[in-house]
Amino acid sequence: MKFFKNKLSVVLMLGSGHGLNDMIAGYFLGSLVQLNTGLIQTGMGLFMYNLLAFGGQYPVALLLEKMKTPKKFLLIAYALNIAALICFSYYIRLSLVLAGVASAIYHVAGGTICAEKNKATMIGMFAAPGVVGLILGGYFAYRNISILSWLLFAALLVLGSLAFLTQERNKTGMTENNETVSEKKFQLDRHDLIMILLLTIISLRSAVWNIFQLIHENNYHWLIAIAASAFVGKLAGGWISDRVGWKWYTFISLGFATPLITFFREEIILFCIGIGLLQSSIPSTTMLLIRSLKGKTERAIGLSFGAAIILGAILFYTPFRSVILSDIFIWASGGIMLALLFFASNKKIEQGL
Amino acid sequence: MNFYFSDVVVGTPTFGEDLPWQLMLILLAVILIEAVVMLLFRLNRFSKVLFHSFLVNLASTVLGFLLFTKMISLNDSVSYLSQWLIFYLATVVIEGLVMMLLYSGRSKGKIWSVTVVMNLASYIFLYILSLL
Repeated sequence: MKFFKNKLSVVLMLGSGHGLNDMIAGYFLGSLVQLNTGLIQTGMGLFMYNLLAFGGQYPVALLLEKMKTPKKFLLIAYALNIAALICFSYYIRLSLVLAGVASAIYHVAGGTICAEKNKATMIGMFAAPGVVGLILGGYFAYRNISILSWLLFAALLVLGSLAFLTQERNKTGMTENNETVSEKKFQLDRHDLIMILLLTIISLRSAVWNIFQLIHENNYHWLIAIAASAFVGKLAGGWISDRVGWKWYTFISLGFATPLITFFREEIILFCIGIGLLQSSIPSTTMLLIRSLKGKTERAIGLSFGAAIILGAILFYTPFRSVILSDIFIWASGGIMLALLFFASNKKIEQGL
Repeated sequence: MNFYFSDVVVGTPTFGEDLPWQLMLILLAVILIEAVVMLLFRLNRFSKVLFHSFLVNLASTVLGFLLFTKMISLNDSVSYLSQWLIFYLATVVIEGLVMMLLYSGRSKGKIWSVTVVMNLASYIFLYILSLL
């Protein structure tokens, strides 16, 4: 599906929209905590948002796969964000629901458009601003600085820009190869296996990433440094992995990230390099996942940005939370991720790609 | 443990510090129970009905979350059993509507029957859980 005329400007615009979308979410969730509504209310609000924003991506992906109208989806996402901002002061629960649905839609539709050129660079450019927006939104809420009207103004601007984008659809879309039924069946199993391995890797990476956000909860000095590293990491990771190969880059980045984030937890610069490397594998693993799900970009994006992230987060809801926060878990995760990647790179299995 | 609403368990005030973990487990159990009922009614294969069960429960959970305050106020005006009945009916209506969208080609009678039965099963589970 070819989309807009000037691809780079579109990806930059979608990336900015992603940053703003996540900033709205960060502001809402941060405000929920600051409003002192009680543990239950706050817990339920966070749970509900995550359930919709991440759990909702796969259903949205299936719908988008059917309708093939990502531009409409993007417009709906921003209309929902604007509605969420308008009713935030009156009915915070509704705002969370609207923002959650908007987030699910925006991630899938935006990610799908950015993945069209089959370049991890584009995925990196789309994904990078998200974390910055999330942390900035949380920071403003934490400092009790009201930015609602600014967010509303910015959201209207993004909505306007999205409306002016020209849509140029390719009628054939991203279709599957012409293979015999038996070949398809045989390869589907291999694809499924690779997909599961990649999803496990993405989930574990997300779990490790969550650990440090949790450790530095409310420590905005560190959180901003972490967000900046993730931002740079995703941009650089996408660009480099397109040149050295997605799989190789994922190997290298995860291999170097693990010792850095465990040995240098107190050394902010080395630690941030580690976090940057960890997050820099997002574009390459997303591209690998898209390749493993031939012709189903929307679904791959929904799984990579949504389902895998929620799977990684589930660990923190379990009673094993204290174990997860230990260095042993990070080392074990690093080892498992590399082993799975090695297994997924096995020539026999890879033939399925 | 005190459930104020439905399948919509996630939209309820309950529990203690382990809130998210418990909410998630209960939601997963409800999704599974309703998927099994859909499977027994031969609506689709297991992976599909599991996904559809996730969708209908997502919808009813959002409703429970949005109506949270209204539901608490029910505490003062109606009996405990009546509350359960109201929540049950509300869940059947919202989930039934989503089921109609998901199975638009099937007979309406069958879809509503499945919705009534699957929610009966999940409510029995929730009621037993609320007694613990």
